[in-house]
Amino acid sequence: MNVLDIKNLKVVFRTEEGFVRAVEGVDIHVGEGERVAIVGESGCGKSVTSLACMNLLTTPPAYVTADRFVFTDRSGHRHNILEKTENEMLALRAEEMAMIFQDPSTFLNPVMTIGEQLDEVFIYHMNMKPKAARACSLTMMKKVGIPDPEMRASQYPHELSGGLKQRILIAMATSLSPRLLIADEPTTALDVTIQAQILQLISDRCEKEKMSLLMITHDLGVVREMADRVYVMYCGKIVEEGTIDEIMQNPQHPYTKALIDTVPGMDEQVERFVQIPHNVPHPMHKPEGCYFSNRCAYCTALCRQKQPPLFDRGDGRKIRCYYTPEELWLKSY
Amino acid sequence: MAEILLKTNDLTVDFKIKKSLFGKPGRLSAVKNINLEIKRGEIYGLVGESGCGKTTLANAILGFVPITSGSFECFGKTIDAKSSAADWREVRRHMQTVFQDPYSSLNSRFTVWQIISEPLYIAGERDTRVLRERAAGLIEKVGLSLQDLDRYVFEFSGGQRQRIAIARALIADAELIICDEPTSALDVSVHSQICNLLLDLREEFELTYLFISHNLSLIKHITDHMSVMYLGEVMESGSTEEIFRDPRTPYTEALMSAILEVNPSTKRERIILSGEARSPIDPPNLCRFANRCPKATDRCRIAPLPAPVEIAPEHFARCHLCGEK
Repeated sequence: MNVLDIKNLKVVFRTEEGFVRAVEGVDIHVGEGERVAIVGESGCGKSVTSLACMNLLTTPPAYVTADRFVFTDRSGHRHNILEKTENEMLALRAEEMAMIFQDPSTFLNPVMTIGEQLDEVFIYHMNMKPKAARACSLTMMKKVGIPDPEMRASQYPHELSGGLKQRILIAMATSLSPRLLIADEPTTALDVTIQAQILQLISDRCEKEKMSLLMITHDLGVVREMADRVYVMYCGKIVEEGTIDEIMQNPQHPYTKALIDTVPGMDEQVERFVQIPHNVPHPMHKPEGCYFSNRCAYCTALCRQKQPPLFDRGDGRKIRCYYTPEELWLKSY
Repeated sequence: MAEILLKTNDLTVDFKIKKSLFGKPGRLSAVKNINLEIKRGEIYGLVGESGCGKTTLANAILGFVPITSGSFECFGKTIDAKSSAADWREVRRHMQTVFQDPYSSLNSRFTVWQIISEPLYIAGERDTRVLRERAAGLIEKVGLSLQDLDRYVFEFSGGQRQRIAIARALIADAELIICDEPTSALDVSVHSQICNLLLDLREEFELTYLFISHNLSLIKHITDHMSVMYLGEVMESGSTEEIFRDPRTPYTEALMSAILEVNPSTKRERIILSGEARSPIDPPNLCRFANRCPKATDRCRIAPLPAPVEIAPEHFARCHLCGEK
């Protein structure tokens, strides 16, 4: 059964210059206990998708529509996220779905101590007394590997390093063992050795609390480490979907393939790096036809005319390209 | 043996910081006793995590932060804490830098040709026609077009801005370009464009790069020699190939095992370091990595960090455990 089931999600932002179509008809589902990743570059709509899942986009400027937007909670109750009021969402968030953000310092209140902020989760959601809440907070801090939790609980966010702050956010997000954890670039702001720690922690927490994970990232290495299934997004559309091994070892869409090729393996010897020409198109001036057509090495007249549909290959693999890899390979000669 | 372009001798940078209003100022040791040699025509990599002092080291060489002690030699001059402005000017003529964030390193009120030609203006060229011509001569080399000369930076994407910054670094015929994380603020799909551009320009203009990055995979593929820094000190240095083939200090090992590969050919064992880097304020004279080191012994926690040992040709490591691997 799917924890999250989204069909044809569209998000449009109204700006002074006109409407920006940030997400254009995205289908995403996350199964129970499954770890799913959305990969893409900045501006591809991956973060907007994750915010829409938590119903965190305010209207205006954002207008969210979907054919289906269902979240199933622990008791099997199906919620239509788009029809929820803010109060109903408050009950769902933290208890059933929770989120970790990229930059932990902007999501912690600078004038409250770490302990107070963690306590809030238990006080508001579990109706605990402050003392009991603090005890729970300290246990949570231990669970996410924070040394000396009593001391840390009395400190303010600015006294903590980025890695510790991210641990606090993870503690907050997972303290009520939600059914779905959404992690939006959780390690982008961190150093590599800390990144390794945090990814390990997220993995452990998901496994222990039997949470489903929706991971948003631009880093293919992180995806490889964390996900079972991947959606590759480009310019607001999903261009490829499949299991992690299939996508990484046998990418079918020219964009996915190019993205993987640009990162040379550690054992490879390279003289020059494989590069994708040009830049990501501006969201207001996306090319006609296939959005990747202006950067694609295999682009044809058909690609420039008409947006290809997301072809379902039937084995869980979906590709938004007119051509099969064999055809693309032939074209390159 | 190629000519040595830049050589630092025990280069040290400290910052004084006030811990409390009336308290004795503390000493933040940002860069400590750095000795490195950059040969003409090579790409020298500096790797380390944030706060390890790699940018401060670059800034000290560029004269953006004062040197506390030690010196560096380049272009026939020795620069130390007491060097005069004239000496600095002499050296700085040959050095330029490309910063990390092209959104903040370019003046948004200048047109592109003004940005690119500014180093020449500073060097004394006042003829607008010459400045513009020189900028025009370079702009196509970095992959932009002549029409771009009169535009403003807000019209450009991150990758294009970085190209403008690279053109600016080249215009005054600098020989040493210090690239401080030139790709980390950019989209993944334009990383390779910028790296390839830097490689091409090196061939064409016979440049030497000091390449700072936290991205080990990039360092591996682009640099000839490298240093691994941790909390202001060089832990390991030598030829890039040698270090990646046989990392000798526990920190380098951990750093390399933290690389997340897209398609790993071999399943490597991952070393996950516990804890975080200690504070660089008033550090004790010990191995700065000892508190996180998975292999630390009692000696590491009490004895000062040893001098660099040449464990293989052109491969230096500073570690108590070296040789006992």
